Amino acid sequence: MSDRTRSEPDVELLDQCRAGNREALGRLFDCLKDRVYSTALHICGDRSMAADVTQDVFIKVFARLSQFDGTSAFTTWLYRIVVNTAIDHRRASTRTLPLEDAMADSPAPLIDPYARLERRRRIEAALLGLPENLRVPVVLRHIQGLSYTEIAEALEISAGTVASRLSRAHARLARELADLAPEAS
Amino acid sequence: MNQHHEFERLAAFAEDQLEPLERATIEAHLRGCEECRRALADIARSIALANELEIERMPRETAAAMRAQLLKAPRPIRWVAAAAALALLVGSALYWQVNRPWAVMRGAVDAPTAFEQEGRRLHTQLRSGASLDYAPRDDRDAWDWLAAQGAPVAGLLPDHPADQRPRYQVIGAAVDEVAGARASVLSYRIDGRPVTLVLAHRRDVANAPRAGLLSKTVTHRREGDANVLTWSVGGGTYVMVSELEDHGQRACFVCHTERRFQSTILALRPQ
Repeated sequence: MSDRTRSEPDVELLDQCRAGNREALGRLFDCLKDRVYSTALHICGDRSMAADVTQDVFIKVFARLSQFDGTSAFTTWLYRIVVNTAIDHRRASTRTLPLEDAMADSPAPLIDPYARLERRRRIEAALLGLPENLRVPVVLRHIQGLSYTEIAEALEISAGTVASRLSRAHARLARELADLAPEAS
Repeated sequence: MNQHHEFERLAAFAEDQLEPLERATIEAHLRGCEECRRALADIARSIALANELEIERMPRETAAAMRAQLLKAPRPIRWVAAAAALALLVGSALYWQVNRPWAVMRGAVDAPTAFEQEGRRLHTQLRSGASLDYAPRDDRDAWDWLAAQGAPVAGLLPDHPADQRPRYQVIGAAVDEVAGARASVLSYRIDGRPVTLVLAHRRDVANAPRAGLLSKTVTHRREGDANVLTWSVGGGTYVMVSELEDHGQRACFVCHTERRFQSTILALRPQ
């Protein structure tokens, strides 16, 4: 799993955001924007839509901060909004992109050799080929680094269902990527 | 697709997410099941591939533009709030202009107007057994009938809560000429005591009580056993003659049964 250090926004920052402190809202955006964008991107498979989802998510988060009661982790609450918003956007969109092209404009990290980038595109394309109910747990688990329990809370399903969906998702991904061996760690 | 029950937990097994007992169960199954061993190998490989994916950063320009846009958002929200507050203020003023929920009761100092005297006379006739033209089923029916006759009707029709309805009985309704004004006459029993209400257009009533901008003044006069209350509101002038004992406060609940008006009426005291 790549480095997905997730830190919860501290209570003081959230309190300042609830009070409408714009500087605090800006810090919250800076802290969460990549996680939101990346999740949306892997659910929608389209950068423009992912940006729209990200903006919608932050509008909702800023407006609903007072409703966050702290019974779950803030990021779990956030991911629930992200997933629902991304799914809504995807279902409302009439645009369908060929899976091969969906991630093709991905900016190539300078350290990635071409072969490595190509691998990543294949894995992303295979992921986008999964049905939504299988894709989302994979995104939350392996890209965002949520635990089974956090995924269950975010998606409002049982941890057993999370485990089951992940098993089915990986079985299908393995078939799609039968010729691909994991990189040596 | 692998049909074995244990398949559902292979991803959790591969990621070491199972409790020891559950893990031992899967291990026992795997020892004897070639199909699940192959499935586990596939799943473990897929997990390793999925873990190669990384959080992708939002393009810097997109993030900067979005940040600026989001943090600018409070300004229109403030305008919306200001507009909503203004609308509320205007709405409230209009509401009070029509309903004047703040009532001030004062003792009458002037001689009774002809409209009051006629109201008092009608009440005496009704409590002596006179009947009115129409015997309504209920309050709503009475006002509907009066409206159908083209008679003046109250802007605020009573809507008695269910638990209060047994206290009110509307006996009759009529359209009559009262002190030269075409008027609606209603006869009630409230808590078993007779109450008469007369309503005419304010413009038709000589020396009608004035209506304040945000409140109404209710003039109170005690005549024998009866309380005579007069006021103007919503373009109408009213006389109510009641034989209730509390200066007409309970009589006022003919209309003011709704909780939102009760607090204002409960504060009524003759001055």
